[in-house]
Amino acid sequence: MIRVLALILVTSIAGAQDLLVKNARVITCAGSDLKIGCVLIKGGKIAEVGEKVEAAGVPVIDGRGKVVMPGFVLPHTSAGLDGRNQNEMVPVTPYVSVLDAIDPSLPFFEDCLRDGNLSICVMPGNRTMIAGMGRVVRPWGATVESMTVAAEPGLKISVAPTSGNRAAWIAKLRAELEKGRRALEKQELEGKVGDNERTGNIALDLEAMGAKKRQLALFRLLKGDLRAHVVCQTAGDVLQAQKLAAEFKLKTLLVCGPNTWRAAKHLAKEKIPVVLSSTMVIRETDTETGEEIERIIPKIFHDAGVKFAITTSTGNLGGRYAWYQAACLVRYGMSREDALAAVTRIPAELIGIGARKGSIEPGKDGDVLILTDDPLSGRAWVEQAVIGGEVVYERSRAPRLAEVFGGGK
Amino acid sequence: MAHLLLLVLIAVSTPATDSGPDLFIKAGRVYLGTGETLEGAVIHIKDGRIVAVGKDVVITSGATVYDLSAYVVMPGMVEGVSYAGIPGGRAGNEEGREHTPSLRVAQAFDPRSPDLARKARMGVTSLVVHPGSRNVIGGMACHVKARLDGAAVMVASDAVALRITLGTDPAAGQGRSSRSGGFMNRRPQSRMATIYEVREQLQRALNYRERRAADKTVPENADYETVLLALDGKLPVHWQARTQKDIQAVLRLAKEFGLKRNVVLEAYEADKCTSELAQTSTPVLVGPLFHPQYGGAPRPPTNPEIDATGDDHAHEHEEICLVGCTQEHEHRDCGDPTHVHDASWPTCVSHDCCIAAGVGIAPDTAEVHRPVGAAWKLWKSGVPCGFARGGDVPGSTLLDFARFAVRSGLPADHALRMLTSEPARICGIDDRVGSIAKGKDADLVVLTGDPLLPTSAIKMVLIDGEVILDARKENAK
Repeated sequence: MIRVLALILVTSIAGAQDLLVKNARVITCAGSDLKIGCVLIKGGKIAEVGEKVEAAGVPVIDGRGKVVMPGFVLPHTSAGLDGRNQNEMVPVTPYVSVLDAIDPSLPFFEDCLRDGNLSICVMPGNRTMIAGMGRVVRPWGATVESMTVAAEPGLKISVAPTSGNRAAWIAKLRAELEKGRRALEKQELEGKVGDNERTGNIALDLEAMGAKKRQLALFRLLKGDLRAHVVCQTAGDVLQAQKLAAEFKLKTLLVCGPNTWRAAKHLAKEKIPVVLSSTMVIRETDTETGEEIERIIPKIFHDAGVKFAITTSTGNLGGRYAWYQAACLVRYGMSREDALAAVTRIPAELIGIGARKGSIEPGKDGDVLILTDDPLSGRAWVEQAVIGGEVVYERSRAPRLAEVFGGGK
Repeated sequence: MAHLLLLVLIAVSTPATDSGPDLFIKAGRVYLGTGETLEGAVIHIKDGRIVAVGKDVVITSGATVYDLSAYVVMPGMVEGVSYAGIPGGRAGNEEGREHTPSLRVAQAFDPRSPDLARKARMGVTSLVVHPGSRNVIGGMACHVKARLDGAAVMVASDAVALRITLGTDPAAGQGRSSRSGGFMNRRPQSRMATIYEVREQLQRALNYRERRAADKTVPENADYETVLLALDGKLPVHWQARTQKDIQAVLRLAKEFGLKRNVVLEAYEADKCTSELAQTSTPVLVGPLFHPQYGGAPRPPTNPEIDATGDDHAHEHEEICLVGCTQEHEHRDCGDPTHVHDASWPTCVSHDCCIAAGVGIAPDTAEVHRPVGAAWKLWKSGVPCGFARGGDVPGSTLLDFARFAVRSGLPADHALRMLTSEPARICGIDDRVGSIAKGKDADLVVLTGDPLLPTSAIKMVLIDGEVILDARKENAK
């Protein structure tokens, strides 16, 4: 008991949620940057951003020569799950959740801190048709619960067949959604559900009506209470996803692989924002001339006018860093602001945490990075990572990093 | 079309002389490749060679002038080790024998390979293309220009170095279970046997020379003659030696046989033997820098199911090369047929979808960055080194290696040298490439800004004075 009390005491001291970062260049990702400015975090939330901010009794970080920016937001990854256990082999598993699979001890989360990825939308893998519930977490905490930023951002669905015939895959997906809809209608007819005003909480209503746990997530999806994160690998998949969304009145977020580029103009016309995979370039061979054509994916989407967030991948030296991805976007012709927004503000909006994350603005969570240099310089290191006003990572205290990197300033 | 016509007109109207037309490049900034930088300089090019570079170079009237004053120019990058243009990538191995020293990989080189255009787009204009790693002594590497107009012009030299592979690559896939003397029962089958094979071949070549000196009727043997060139220091030896023990074996063999011109390739553990390398002035070609399987603690076998079949794909895990496996199979898992991987290695870290499909393990930053840190440590210890084996996706190109090495502490001017003059010197092709200087090939890369900034884009590439790529009109930054 005493030990527990002591622990609580220690955590409450260590977990101070007030912080003032002074004299740093501030990149807000919300429109107005400060050449020299201050960011005040109080009670875990950003309280004030300005050229001169004073706050008595608040711990201060001197950010002279440093750059402060919001933590990066990864809009879609399966990297927080054990590498070999990201997919259920049964095609329809709406009842599983990454809650039970996220491994807080994975080096991936340690990397996220080092690399500045402070909000991570972990989703089941791409192989399963209806793959289960995702979760938005921060890379800090010993349990999934303490890491959680948003418990149920959406249900993962793949319209890209990973086995068998494309038509059969879509037919099965449609049949599963139809089956769910009928079951839901039947329950409603029997009066077990429908009186949403009673509690205002569809999840509670569904539980009250005794819906099987297995169907709950699917019901919520069909009721518009959950978003579907839909994986599309080709332009055709994009159209299928749109068709299914219209048919079943689903809220969707499209997660687009590089081969969806032919749907870019369509997505722009329909004003559908997307999450782009980390793959920047694909190569196609012209069947007539045999010549290789390079398609720069984010450039195609940007030129078409699609609003997009871009994610990272663990499989590439540069592509594993959000700042590198943003630098690539600038290389391909986007503005600095748009490029940085694609790894901060826009992904936060798309996964439904835009009110809390993705920019440095009063009222938002105090998740900020203190960088040694401009994020697009290619030389920046995360000096400190701050989550909810708490310094959770300090490069000077990461000896393993120093051993490996040697000369990093 | 109008442009073309104009060019033709200019070509016609130029007085016919023995030499070609003059070309002048007005550059905003020029990195010479030797560490020196010129602000606002002119490069004079004629007959594919650099005639002059400097601030006071006079532009002759009527000559073609590229005004690149808004851009930065650097020498074309030199990739000291590459497998580009060899059909099947590193599968360009002759597996009939363990030693094929007299083979020239240039003869297998495919000038139509899309690899070359990719390299050119990434700013790599010279490549030293090697035979694969399945043979102990694989043959001779060649120097290739990424200019896409036929092997006759592209292959600058077909005998740059003799390629020897240590470690377990030559042993990988040998038929352990097949009958002794059977077709699949090739030696070596272990790391020590690989080194023994090298020693035996070197000794046999020396014995052959003695025999031939004593007895003129002994017929000439091309393989031994090639090995003797290396033993006499007329042909450098490029050793693939990834681990500390293999690097030390290179130095041991070099001492034993008095080999003077050695280069170590793919030396991931070079940072563990910097003093030995520095003492012997043995150069290192660093790369690929992204080698996810390398670095941290050895990982356990990832797919017991496949390992249990006991087929010939039992690689040593610490050394398996994910990017360049020797055999290609359709990937079983990610579903994208264009993602071709070695089926024996279920871990794909090259594609998001494969990772998401659960066939990849994510390597952590420390593992990934070990070779990046190595570049800095080698530089600091005074070991001559260059970057090599760049990938072909943004984030893993040769230029990206330099960018990441700079982030980890390598001085910027040295990083640029490690892309250009250093690998050229190490490979012995610096008489033609690697720097912008009088008499050198006019191989130039034009960028929107400092090459080491990840935001800088490559906008033009010239090889032998010819424009291979011009993307200045696209998206003028």
